[in-house]
Amino acid sequence: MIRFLTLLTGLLFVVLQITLASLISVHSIRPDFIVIFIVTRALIEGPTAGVVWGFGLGFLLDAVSSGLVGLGSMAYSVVGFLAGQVGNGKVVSRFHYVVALISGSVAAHVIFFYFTEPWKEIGLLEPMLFRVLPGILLTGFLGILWMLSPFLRFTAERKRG
Amino acid sequence: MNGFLARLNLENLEPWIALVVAVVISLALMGTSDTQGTELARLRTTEILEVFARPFSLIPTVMNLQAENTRLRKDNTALRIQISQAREAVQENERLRRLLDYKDSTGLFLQAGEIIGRNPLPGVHSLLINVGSAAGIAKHMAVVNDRGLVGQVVRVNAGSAVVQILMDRNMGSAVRLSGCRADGITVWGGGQRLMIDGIPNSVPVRLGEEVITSGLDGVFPEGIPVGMVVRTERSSEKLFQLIEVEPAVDFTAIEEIFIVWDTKRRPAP
Repeated sequence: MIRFLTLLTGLLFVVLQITLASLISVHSIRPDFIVIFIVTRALIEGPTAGVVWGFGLGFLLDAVSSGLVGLGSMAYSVVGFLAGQVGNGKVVSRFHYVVALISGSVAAHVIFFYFTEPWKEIGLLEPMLFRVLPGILLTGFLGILWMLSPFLRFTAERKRG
Repeated sequence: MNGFLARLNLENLEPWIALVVAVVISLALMGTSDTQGTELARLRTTEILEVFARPFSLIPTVMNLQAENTRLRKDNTALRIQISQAREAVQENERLRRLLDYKDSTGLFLQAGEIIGRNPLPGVHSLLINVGSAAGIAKHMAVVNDRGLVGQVVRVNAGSAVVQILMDRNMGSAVRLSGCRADGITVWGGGQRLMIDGIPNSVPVRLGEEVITSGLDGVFPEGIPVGMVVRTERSSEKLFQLIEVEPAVDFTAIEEIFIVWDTKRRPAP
């Protein structure tokens, strides 16, 4: 039952990413809900599960995008792996969560930037400063709000117990 | 050797193996993006996600006002395109002294659609809309809104379609500068910037010049507004000048879109 609810939550995050992320974007800088979810799962379940979650949710997003299929699954697999390594499936603390969130968010944004932006033509500095960095910060901010939510505290305590 | 293998903790290797497998499969998928199997998997996945995404797109509004607004926007879009085409026709006629038999292309049919999802991945700019093959939508149809060109349909399900917008790395459209009559191709310049490629340094491009579709790509009908020239830059080292265009469409705030049917594919009333 818990597994099913987790799966449903993952699907909900995918839907939120498709429908809500653009609506709450600031100057076309959007939060990445998927990173938040994958980091959470990877911290709770470990790096292997993080990779599996990342691959699965990434593939779902690839399917509804007009870009290369496989890009999302690769980027989010890396996010799951990194976040899992930070927590290593044993400790779930707020400090670990923030570190995992930032490293996961950086990894995802850099991979997407490398594959989708015309950085060879426009250079690195401007897009990094005005798009990638704000995206990481916005995702981090929402991730911290999610961290403070009762749901995440519950799952974290359950894991420790 | 056996001792070495025994020292290796397989549990520690498991995440690495998972990551390598995931990355290899992802790269393999990237290489097979256009195959029939991958396309089918994408279509089925989109169909499932579309069901979940639809309720989120229903923002509570007064239904009558929304319907009227849609109708007015539709009329407005048709009029804008017609005005742009009329302006084109006048210039063309003057320049060629009525030697051209100008093609009648005002019979564009617009079909309204709603956006149910957008930009699923950072850097990949696309829209998921609520009309699909059941409504007669097909690949490579042009998509516009009341301001101008939005993009083209790249994938179609029965009840939804994926639209690739102009601000995407893999998207380009044949355009014409309305003043100097030079033809070029749009290229996404990162962020909200649109560039035009392929216009030689010798062409005198004015700031504020209107950019419209030229129809030469066979995808977008001629005369749809694309944007306005806001910056030009010439370099002696390059053959073509750098032209920056402010898009006519505000891609951060698209609410409704219209799919353009050409007269040959116009649906039965």
